[in-house]
Parts: sequence; C-alpha cells; structure tokens
Amino acid sequence: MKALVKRNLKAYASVMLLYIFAAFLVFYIGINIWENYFTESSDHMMKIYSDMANILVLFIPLLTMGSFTLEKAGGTDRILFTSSLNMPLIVLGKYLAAFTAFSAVMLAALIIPSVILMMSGVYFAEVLSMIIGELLIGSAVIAFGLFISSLSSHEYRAFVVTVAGLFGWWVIDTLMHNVSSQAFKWVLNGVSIFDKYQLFSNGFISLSAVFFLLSVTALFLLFAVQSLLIWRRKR
Amino acid sequence: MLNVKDLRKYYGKTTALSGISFHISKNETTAFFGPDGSGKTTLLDILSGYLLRYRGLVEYTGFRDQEPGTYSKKASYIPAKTVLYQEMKASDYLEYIYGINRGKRNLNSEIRKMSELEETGITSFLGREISDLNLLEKKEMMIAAELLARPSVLLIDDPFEGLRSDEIDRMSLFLRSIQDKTTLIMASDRLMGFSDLCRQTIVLNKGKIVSSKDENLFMHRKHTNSIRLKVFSSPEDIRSAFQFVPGIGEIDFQMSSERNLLEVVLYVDTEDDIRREIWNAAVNFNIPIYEMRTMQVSPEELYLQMTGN
Repeated sequence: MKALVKRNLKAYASVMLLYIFAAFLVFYIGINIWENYFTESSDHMMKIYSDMANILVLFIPLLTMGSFTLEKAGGTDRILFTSSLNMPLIVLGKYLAAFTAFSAVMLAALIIPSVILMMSGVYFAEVLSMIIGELLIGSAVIAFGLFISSLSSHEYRAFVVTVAGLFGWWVIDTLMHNVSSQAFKWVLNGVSIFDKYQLFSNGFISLSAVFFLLSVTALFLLFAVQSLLIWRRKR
Repeated sequence: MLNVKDLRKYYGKTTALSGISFHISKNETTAFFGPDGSGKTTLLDILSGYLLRYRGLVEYTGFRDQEPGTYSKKASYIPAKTVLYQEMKASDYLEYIYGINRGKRNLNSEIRKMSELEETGITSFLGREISDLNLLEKKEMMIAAELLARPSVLLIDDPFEGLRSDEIDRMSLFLRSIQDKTTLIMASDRLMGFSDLCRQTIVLNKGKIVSSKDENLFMHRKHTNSIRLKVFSSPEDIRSAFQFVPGIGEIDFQMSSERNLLEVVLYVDTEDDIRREIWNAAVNFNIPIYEMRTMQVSPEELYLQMTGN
C-alpha cells in the first residue's frame, strides 16, 4: 500500500492546477488577514479562519476527482485491481494519499493565520482544535470524493458531483439554522458535517463530533470499496 | 497449471465467450489469436481475475485460493492500450508495481539479478520519464515490472501491438528469454513475432475456439500443403484417380479461368513429395494435366481460414 500512496502523492505533486489552487488559497488568506488584523477583534479573526476552512474543502474535489476515474479511463485499473492489493487496501491507499496532500496544503495555508491568531490572544489549544476539526472534515469530504470517483469513469463528472455534494451539505447547514421544526432540525443535524466544525472552532475537541466525522469517513470509504467491487462484478 | 472448462461470458445480450475449454501446463507459453471482438481480451480479463462475473470453471492448480479476484496475486496482467502514469520515471514505475505486487526483496538487487532485463537495455532508461519512452521501451518496462515480483503466470495482451518489425524481433527475443521463468499467456490479433515463442496456439473467433486441440499454428503441417492442378476432366474422374494416392486428403474443385479446364486443390497430409504419384495416377486415368503447382499454406493463411477472413 505504501507504493500506492507514494505514487498518488507524486501524481498530485505533478498537477499544476493543484499548485495554482493552493497558491490562490494562501493569497486569499493573506489578503483577509491583512485587511482585518488591525481593525477587527480576535472573534472576527476566528470567523475568517472558519470561512477559510470551508474554502479549503473546495480543494478536495480536485484531489479526489481522478483517483479512480483516471485509472479506469487509462486502463491502469486492470493493473491495479489485479495486483496483490485487495480492494479495501487500494481504497485506503488512495485515501491516505489524498489526505496527506490535503493536510500538507491546509497546514501550509493556515500556518500564518494560526500564528496571528495566537498573537492576538487566542490560545494555542484553540487553534489546534480548529486544525484538528478541519482535518477531520477534510477526511470525511475526501472519503466522499473517493466514493464519487469510484462511481464514475469521467474525471470532470466526478468533480462536478463532488462539488454538488459539498454544496448540498452547505445547504443542509443553512437549513438547519433556519427551520423551526425540532424533528427536522434533529435529522439535518445528523447528516450535517460542516456544522460540526463550530464545535472545534470554539476550542473544544468534541468526542461526539470526532466520532461522527470518523464514522462518515469510514462509511464513504466502505461505500467506495463496495461500489468498485459491484462495478467489477457487474462487468 | 490452468484448467478452463466451458467458460462463458456475456455482456448483456452479446456473447463474448461461448463455452471455451483448454489446459495450459506450467511454464508453457500459449498464445490466443483472433480478430477484434473474438473474445481474447475478455478471456485475459477473466484469467487475470479482473472480471469477476462469468460462467464456467477457471482453475489454477497450485494456487491456494481459487476465488476469482484472489488468484490475481499469482497471475500478473499487462493489458493492451494502457495510458501509463506519464509523470513517473521508469524506475518509479518498477518500484510502484513491485510494491503493489508485494515484492519482499530489495528492488535494486532484484533488478540486478535479472540478467534478462540487461538484454532489453531497460537499465539504461530507468532514469527517464515514461512520457519520454518509446512504445517498445514502455512495453519492456511493464513486463519487467511485473516479472520482478516473480508471478507464476504472466498474461500479456497484444505484446507486439504498434511495434515496428525490428522492435517486434527485439520484443520476441525478450519474451523468449523469460519463458522459463513463468507461464506466459498472450493474446493478439496478428501472428507476427510469435512464431518461435509458443508451445501452444489457440485461435478464437466470435467467442469460440476454432483451432483443433493441441494444434500449433506454427508447427502445423497437416493440410497446410496443397497441390493445385489444372486438368481436363470431371470431378468424379479426379476422385477416382486420386483416391488411392497416399498422402492426399481432401479434394476441392474450382472453376478455372481457362475454358473447359477444372482447377483441383489436393490437400496433402504428408511431408513427402507426391507429385510423381499424382502424375502417374493421372496418366493411368487418362487425365491430361495442364498445370501443377505446389502450395504452402502459411500459418497466417491458416489463421485467416480459421477465422473466416
């Protein structure tokens, strides 16, 4: 599996689009920090930090869109699926590569805002909790993106569907704060992932949120394994 | 080594393989030939464990696990028309394939140990990117990468596809040098390059085996020689005249372009020269022979006959 992770990381490192997006993120973050640092309170800074975390998630469809679609389109799926790795290991390898790439870009983008936040009086533990929250949400979204990629043979189709899925989650979050029905709210809360970030941004590492996001990750990875197995069995 | 019995594969209403059976022994090189759509790639997909849904029996003797999809651990597969990871170097590709095939030993020492790889010159292009390699180098790299994990069976789809004739010779030499290391199973729509390689050849057409059991296209002598005559006679007289000539099998008749003459094809199933006996038989039956030509049916012609082209 190490070989699979390494190959995928090298593939990410060779995609210009990812560099452009990462550069844009750092630039965007820099502008926001510069504009607000001297005028706003640390609370406002936390809000910006949270927004940036959401934008970072947009990076994920770029990472996951080609994970399986490119293998299928290029015919290398035959080599990969007939190797000694079984399907769960293949999916896990792809996940680890995407998660490592996401973590690297995220940490690079958030390092300066994190330092500024700490300089403005926010405790390191709070910043750390936000980073952990972001990593966990990223992990869940990566698993979702891999699942979508496993369903398709077209890279850009996988990208569009993953972005649409993320948009759906944001809509769920917005609805959740605006519906009056408690039952409906409870259901929406059960499937919302971005709302969980609020817990981390308040400086708490909520075990229930950690468990929830890890469960979402595991669930979508399992879905990806199953969809690939079904795809092979149906052929 | 490999037993396949009554293997069937359907894609919806289309039949890709309709009940094929064969046996391949250990370290025996076998080639499947057939035109496009004959079921070759589907067959390799099944033998490699890539396709999981089929009917019939695929049994690798000596493999612990016979579940489709798990015997791929011993059977490596090199598909045709693969778009490789262009961003990788050849050495990275070897490392990647060795890794996903769970090679246990040190990769560099394994490469050094395989003297066959030296012959291909692969060590000279290990540092180059895949996008810079020519087709032959890419194919050699793919085969070398799979070989490093020492598979029991190596399945190669169209090993000579897209190669120039000099490259075909080089690839053929390479494949010959690795024959004793693994059971080589290949598929192609053309015979070029395979003549000195295969112990067994199996011809597929429309999902069925159309060659005889244990027949090798390249070793075939029976019915591959024929003698064509232009005679002034009737088919009945011809049959009477040649029925007792040893070595003559089937007899075909065609209309000659020359008026009143009959063209006769005598299929010969002996390697002896029987032209004298044919001449004598014709004289005895008072059949004038206007022309006699010996015809060698090449493996390619035989293949085309089998596949109906």
